[in-house]
Amino acid sequence: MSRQFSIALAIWIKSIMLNGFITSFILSITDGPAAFLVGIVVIILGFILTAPLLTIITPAVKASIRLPYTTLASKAWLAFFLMLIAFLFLMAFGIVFGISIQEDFGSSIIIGSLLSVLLATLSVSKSLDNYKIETNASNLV
Amino acid sequence: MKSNRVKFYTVLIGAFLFNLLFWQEKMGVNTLFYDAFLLTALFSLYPEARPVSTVRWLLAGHLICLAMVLIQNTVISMIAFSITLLLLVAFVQYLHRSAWFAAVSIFENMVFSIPNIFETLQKPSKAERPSRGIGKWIRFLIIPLGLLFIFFLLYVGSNNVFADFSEKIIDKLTSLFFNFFDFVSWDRAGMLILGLFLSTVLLLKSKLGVFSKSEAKLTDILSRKRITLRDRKQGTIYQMLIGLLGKFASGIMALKNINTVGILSLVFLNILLFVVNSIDISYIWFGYRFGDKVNLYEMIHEGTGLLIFSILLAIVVLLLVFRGNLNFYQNNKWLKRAAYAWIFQNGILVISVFLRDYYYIHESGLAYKRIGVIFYLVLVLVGLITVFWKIYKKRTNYFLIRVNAWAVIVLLVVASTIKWDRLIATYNISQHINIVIPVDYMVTLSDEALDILDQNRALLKEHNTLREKQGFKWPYRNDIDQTIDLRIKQFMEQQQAYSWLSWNLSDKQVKDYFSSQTVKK
Repeated sequence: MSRQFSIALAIWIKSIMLNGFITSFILSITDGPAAFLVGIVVIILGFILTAPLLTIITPAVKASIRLPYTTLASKAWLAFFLMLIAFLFLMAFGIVFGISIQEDFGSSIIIGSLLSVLLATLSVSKSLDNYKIETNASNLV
Repeated sequence: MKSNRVKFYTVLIGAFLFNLLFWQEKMGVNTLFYDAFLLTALFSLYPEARPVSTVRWLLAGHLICLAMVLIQNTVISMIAFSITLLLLVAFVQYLHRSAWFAAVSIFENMVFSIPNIFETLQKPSKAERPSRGIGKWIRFLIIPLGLLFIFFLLYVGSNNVFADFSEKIIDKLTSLFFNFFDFVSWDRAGMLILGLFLSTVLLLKSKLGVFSKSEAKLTDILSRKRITLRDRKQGTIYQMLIGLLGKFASGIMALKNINTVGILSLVFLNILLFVVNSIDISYIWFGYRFGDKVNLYEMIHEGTGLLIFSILLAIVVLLLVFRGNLNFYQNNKWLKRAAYAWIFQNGILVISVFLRDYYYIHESGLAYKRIGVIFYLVLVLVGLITVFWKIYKKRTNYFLIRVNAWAVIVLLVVASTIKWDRLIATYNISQHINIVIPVDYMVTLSDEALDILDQNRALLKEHNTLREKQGFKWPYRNDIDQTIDLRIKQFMEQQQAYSWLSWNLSDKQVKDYFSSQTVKK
């Protein structure tokens, strides 16, 4: 398994798990404890539906490492790029299934997804740093 | 190169300034302040661009557009201002010669705006780092603030007067806190983010500079290249030629054969265009009589579009014929002559299309599309001249695209200096004896023409009756008076909502006119 794929996989898994927790937490404020079940559904559907996104996340990780920027700037670019991808994916999903982002459910999913992608990217921060250092070192050699 | 800290604060000031100047305002005098800040910051951050002549020319064009935003305040002046600003930014930050490459460099700035801003947040090196950071002060304050809090609670519990006094202060602070959140709305926060993004894109250059590097490899002068048969076979055009010409398009004689095909094609096309031009010269140039409206509508709406397309296609055909080494083929004299003749004939076609448009304006009045056709024809004419120059002086396609892009920008700056809607209204009304005024179109003209519409209500009603007799139906629910009144009401309400930041001469003149009308009534 290539390094960029393993980092991409970690971001993807963590994002979906976090999204499940955050969405159920937001919905539980308005809809009560039963909303935790929605979180489980979000996690299961997330793994099934967003799997093709790995084909975008992996090259994005690779691109972020190769950017001639500091590690902080590269990570910020990756986080915002992945958030944009998540947002576009959810918008497309919403259009296909007729879910409005102005509804409580739609907006919770979107807020949850964006926040979870950001947190997931930050959580692999050290791996990204090491990968960047290794890539730069190999380029120097 | 300025330090990251300076860049960061400049971007931050730009974001706040954008928020303060443009919140619930339109482009007016606020544009002058924001632009002054941007240009000062830009030339301070990138001083190496100051002596570059292209930057100076572009700056002149941009300042004309800025003046036009303040004076004319037309949509086109705002578009021209924005485009010239973006191009100026790209030319200041990168080494560019072409507006196209500059445009994609701005796109690059947009894509990398996030790392660009985060790059400025990078901690300064130890030598630069201040000895007393904010963290140190926070540590110093933890114990005193903790003690202050404990003793505050003790005194509140023991002293009633102090408790009342502190309660009043806390109430004041709480209301201040909530008022602050009422003042800072989500929309305003969004505007601040937009300002931050815009300032980042305009002030911070991408570290990649991909398009600047790619443009550096391109030249205006065409050079002869030795292309191997293997490389040539991979080209799409080669595959198409092989499909059409078979073995004639390959081998040692390929260039000679393609030259022959080119000559034959251009001779046939020249003959065909000669016939078309002869008919046009006979009927359109010298034989047209005003008042003969039989085919005018068809001739303009269907004919003009097709003719412009044919001229553009002619340019593409010439570029395909004169690609690569055929430019250096010794016996291409006749091919060049045929191409020059075709370019000249296409020039005649441009004049014919212009005359069609002129007749249509004469018969039916001015409108956006009719003016647009004139601009389009000017650009097509520039295109034909540059194609001639490309063939004559052996220039690259890069040269052609570069020069034509500059022509578009020059035309955009020129177009920004005219109040088109006012011109349309004035012209159409002045021609009321010769034309039937398109009233339904006239009432849709922008606010700058509102006073002209108001002054000519009776004439507009009279012409609308004429149009109804011709079979045209008034398309709106309100009648002419109601439509104009509604437009005036909306304009005056908008003007009342704007502050001095949206001031511009055009709006002021229209507003003054209606204010004086109200006083008279």
